[in-house]
Amino acid sequence: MRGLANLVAAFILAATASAHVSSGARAAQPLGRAKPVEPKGTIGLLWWPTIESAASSFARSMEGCLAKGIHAEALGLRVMTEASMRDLLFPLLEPSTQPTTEEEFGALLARSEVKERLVSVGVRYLVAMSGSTADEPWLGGIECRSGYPGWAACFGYSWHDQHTTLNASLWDLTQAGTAAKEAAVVHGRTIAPALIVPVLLPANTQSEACHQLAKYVVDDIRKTESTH
Amino acid sequence: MWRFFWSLMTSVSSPLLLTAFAGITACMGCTANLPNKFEHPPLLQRIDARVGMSFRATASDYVYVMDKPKFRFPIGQASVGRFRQVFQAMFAKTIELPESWRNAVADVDGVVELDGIMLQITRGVEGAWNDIVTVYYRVCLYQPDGFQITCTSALGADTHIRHELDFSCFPLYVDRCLAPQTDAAMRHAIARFISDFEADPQVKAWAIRVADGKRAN
Repeated sequence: MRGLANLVAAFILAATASAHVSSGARAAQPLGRAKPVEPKGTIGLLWWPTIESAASSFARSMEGCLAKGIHAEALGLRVMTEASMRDLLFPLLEPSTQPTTEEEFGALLARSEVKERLVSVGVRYLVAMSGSTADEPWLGGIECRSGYPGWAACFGYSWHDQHTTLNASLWDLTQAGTAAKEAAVVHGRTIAPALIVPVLLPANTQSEACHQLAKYVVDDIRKTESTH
Repeated sequence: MWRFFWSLMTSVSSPLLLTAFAGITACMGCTANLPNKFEHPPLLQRIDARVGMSFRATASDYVYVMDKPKFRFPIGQASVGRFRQVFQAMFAKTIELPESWRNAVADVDGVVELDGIMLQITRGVEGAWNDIVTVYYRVCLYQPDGFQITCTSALGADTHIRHELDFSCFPLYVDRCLAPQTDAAMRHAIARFISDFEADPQVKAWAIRVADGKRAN
């Protein structure tokens, strides 16, 4: 009995140890000697190029997570959602009309009527996001058996790797061109150990990536404001 | 043992099943919420013309009815509100005309008419969980005497690929996914209309004629 308990404990320990996320560190960007500035104003979020569907759960969850993350990092920043930004600049950012290159995107933001519209609602920064999550196939295996008189049990170990990449270009509307570019790359492994009952231990790469990106973006805004 | 499993299963799944059932049955005969205006006026190149706006009843009254679950998409009314804003941003002055404007045309440089709308919703089935919403518009520009200058057809679509085990749309499938998809497809189609209309040589020639006429007066 004790042997079985030890086996279970070892199994769970091994399993939880491997349910992890690892992130690609961004290039070190020293903040310099400038004093930290508490950013204020409105930051607009935008998927660019436009994400495949209005119903995309990835887009919805990442946008919500990023908005919360940015607000948590800098309470003075108000976040404007993707839908409001698109509405604000309609029809310039729809799939058939959106700029296709960064130069075109910059040129669009430099247009007087666009700038005027953004400034009228207090937008100072714009974050153009892109990204995706890639799921690799499940590996390993779990076998379940049942028999008389009504027992059932599963044994095995299965896992799959997940990679989330989120990119952001920060545009400061008071400057020409991008103020900063950031990327958060997070790898993770979802595991499912099964010792009688299968247990799913998901690796939340999306949440990790968006929190990282939120931090990077706020750091960049602080840096931009301190140099002004 | 089986009894234990059965009671566990029913206690866990009952609330889920009830929620799903309530979600489906509560929406029988429901209407999708489609905004009938943009929050801000569209950003357009304004044409210096006084234009009459007309909305055909076949377009403004158009409602798409989906089966299983039965759901109404009043896209006609939603589109009229949005096109009204587009035309108001597109032309220096606009007045609204009845559908019978051809018999009693007002003092205008032209008439722009929302001539037709079509909505198509193709729902994903097992093996290909792609929900495709397609919106089609046809808008025509006329001279005040009713002579047709040009017609612009515009198509917008939104495709949502639902992956296996992706339940983000349920149980409020229409409200969470199909209504936002329809809204997005409408926006895409209207944006397409604007870019095609602005680039149409017939429209450009008409705008020049109107400007020349104003200068001559």
